[in-house]
Amino acid sequence: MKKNKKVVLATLPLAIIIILFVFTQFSVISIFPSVSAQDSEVRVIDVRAFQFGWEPEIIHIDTGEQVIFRIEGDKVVAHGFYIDGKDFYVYIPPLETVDVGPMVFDTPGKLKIRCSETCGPLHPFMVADIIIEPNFPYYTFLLSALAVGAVTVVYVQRGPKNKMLGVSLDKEVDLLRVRGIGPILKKALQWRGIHFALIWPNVVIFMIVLASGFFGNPTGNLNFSVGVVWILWLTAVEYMILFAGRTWCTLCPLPAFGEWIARRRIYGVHKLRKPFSLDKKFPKSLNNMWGSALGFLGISLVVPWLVTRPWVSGLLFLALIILGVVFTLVYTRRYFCRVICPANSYIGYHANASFYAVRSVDKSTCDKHIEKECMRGGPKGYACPWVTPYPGGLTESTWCGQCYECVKSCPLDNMSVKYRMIGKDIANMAVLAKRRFGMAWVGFIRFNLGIFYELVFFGSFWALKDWGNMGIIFGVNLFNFGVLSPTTSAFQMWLVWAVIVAGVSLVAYPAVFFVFTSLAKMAAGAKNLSTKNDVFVPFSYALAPYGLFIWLAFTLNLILVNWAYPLSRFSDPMGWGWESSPIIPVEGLKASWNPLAPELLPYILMPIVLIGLALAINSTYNIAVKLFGDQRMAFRSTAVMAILHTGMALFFAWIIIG
Amino acid sequence: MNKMAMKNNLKNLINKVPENLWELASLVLLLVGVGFVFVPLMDGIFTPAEADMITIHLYQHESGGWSFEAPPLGQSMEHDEGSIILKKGELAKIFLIGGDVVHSFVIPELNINSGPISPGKTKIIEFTPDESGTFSIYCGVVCSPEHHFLVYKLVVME
Repeated sequence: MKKNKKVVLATLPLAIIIILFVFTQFSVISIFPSVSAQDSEVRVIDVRAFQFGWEPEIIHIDTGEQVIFRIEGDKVVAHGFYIDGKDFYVYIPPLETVDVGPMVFDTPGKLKIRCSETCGPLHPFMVADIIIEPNFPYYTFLLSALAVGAVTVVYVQRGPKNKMLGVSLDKEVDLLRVRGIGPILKKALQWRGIHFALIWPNVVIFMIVLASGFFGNPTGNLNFSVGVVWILWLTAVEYMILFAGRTWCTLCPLPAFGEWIARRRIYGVHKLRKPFSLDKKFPKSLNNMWGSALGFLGISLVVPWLVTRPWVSGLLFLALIILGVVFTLVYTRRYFCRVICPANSYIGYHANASFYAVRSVDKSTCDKHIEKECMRGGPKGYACPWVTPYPGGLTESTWCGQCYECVKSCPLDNMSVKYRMIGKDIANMAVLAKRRFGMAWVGFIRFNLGIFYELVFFGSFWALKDWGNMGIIFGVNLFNFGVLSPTTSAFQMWLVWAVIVAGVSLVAYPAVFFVFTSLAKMAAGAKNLSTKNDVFVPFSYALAPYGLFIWLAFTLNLILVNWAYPLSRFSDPMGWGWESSPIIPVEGLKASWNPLAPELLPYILMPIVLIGLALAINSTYNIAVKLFGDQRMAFRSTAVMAILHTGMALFFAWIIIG
Repeated sequence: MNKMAMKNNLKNLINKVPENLWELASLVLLLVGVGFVFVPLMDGIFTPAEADMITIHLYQHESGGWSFEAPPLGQSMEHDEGSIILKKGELAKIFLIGGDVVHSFVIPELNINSGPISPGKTKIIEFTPDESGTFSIYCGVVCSPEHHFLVYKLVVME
């Protein structure tokens, strides 16, 4: 009976979301029957298209109202007019005015006007909002966020022991010992060629990225280096983190070249122990998350250029691969990955919220085993290239790059891959990480930028995009990179953008978080702990699952709307209009831009964020239990933190549908 | 004893061969991946689609302007210099490739207008110039603030 109750509580949030959504979809239709065409006047809405936005940014329309959009074309280039869920793509020639309509919107909510004709580098983000009043779905979204927050708090109040949303954290599945695929997987991971076999396709893709980045079409979405990397790869990596941990790091070609040179081998293990490198010791003070975190933030400051200008992407990747080779030739092991690579910060941080992890089968076997090939290297595998302190004792995925060298080198066959519930190790790791501020700030940066990007790239505030973009309308490749020279006023506006991005993620949100943690500590009544040294960083680990789910939502939005661009780039990587490329001679991959279920996007994104919210609250509770050692104290502090986490979910709801 | 050592050596050698073969195969594959991917991509930029065709990539002016690739008779040109050279009375095929934004190819004096060409789309225009002289080529769709400077020359020789 008691067990049943807990299961009900765990599934309650999901049930509430579903009920509320279903309620919105049906009730509104019955309460507000659509006004028939005869008894309403046709309203003409003037819309102006320009690079890169629409004026007005937000259009309010009543349910059932008949409207005509009178679209004034750009003075400069042609655009396309598309509304989510409507079956038309209207070509808007420059200097002309086009009427679209009349049309009626029956379902309340928020739809987006999107540009359907490539009009320049920021074309995929040329968006305006149509809000169909009364916006009931928005209120339902707010209510469901509050409900999920409240239900999760009620759930943790009952004191679930070592559980995450009703699923026990003690259960895990050893993937290499599962019947069926287990032995095959094990054989594959122990095969020395697996590393190269997985990286090789990405080496090819990387070369295409460099070629197209420097020499391809200057407009981003027509170029492989932007279309595939910043739409397909970005999304793939986030979903890989959730389902397969740091698998991208297994596949990544960037450090591989240096590693192969240093090892003198691509496939095997070199008999000589001395690597082909200077083999210097890495300075200890730099060996932390700050380098990656600030690198990620630095990229975020120029992200409107990076994700739309092939030349900028090409430069970044060229710089990264040169750094990767240089770092490996100086320090031998993967310090490039650990300290420089901007993706390391978030892949490593969020890998702790993954279902997937490399762990030892039985830690006591490792402890008794003196040789420790995983740390020193053996005939079958190298010593851990990621310099994790001790692979056998791994309880944290942050620094494990999943290269599977330990799986190969372990003579006792004691290293394995495990599948378990999200956030199994978060509580333990958080309690130990009392002053690892670098990790906390990765959490803040990622969480805030996930929300901020949803607002900037899929929001209607074109000015924000323009500031980040410094008002430059041209695409850039190697032949014309001089175009990227902003005017002084545009540069000043970019400074505003930079202050917003850096200020929110480095200062403002952490400050709010600090206030909430100190309140949570007060609510718990833990007088002997200090907020700064004991509570702040551990509680920030709740953002590992939450931030990941925010990004899952954001990248899903990206790929559902723009899936046609990366797909087409495989047959036309340079953007020259090829029907099939000499490298991937497959015809028929070219698809015209055609968003997938865009009118349902908010209903797809919000549940993802709400799952993240529930995970964040439950993680906070698990951390607090470990931290305070008392369930009642833990519950009281969790309730305080839940207010902040729920507030951010409300903010996200406002962005996607409000 | 000696025989035994030799046998062991042979065994070692046999054991060793596959590994080195793997190593060599990996290296070859890597070089193929690096080099032979780059080359065809680069090749596509600088050679026209068909030997007797004049290929034009349509770009905004600041982005490099229209780039022309033409067989020996026509002159290759970049940016706003140079011109297409054709022979009077000979069929000319012009292969237009939509570049970054919508463009079109217009020669008013010869009554040629391609209509808008979207990015990534292509169009082939065929015509036979029947009078010699120099004609202006314009972009028919406003494509950038520099659009009005996008003027190229078509020279028809006797």
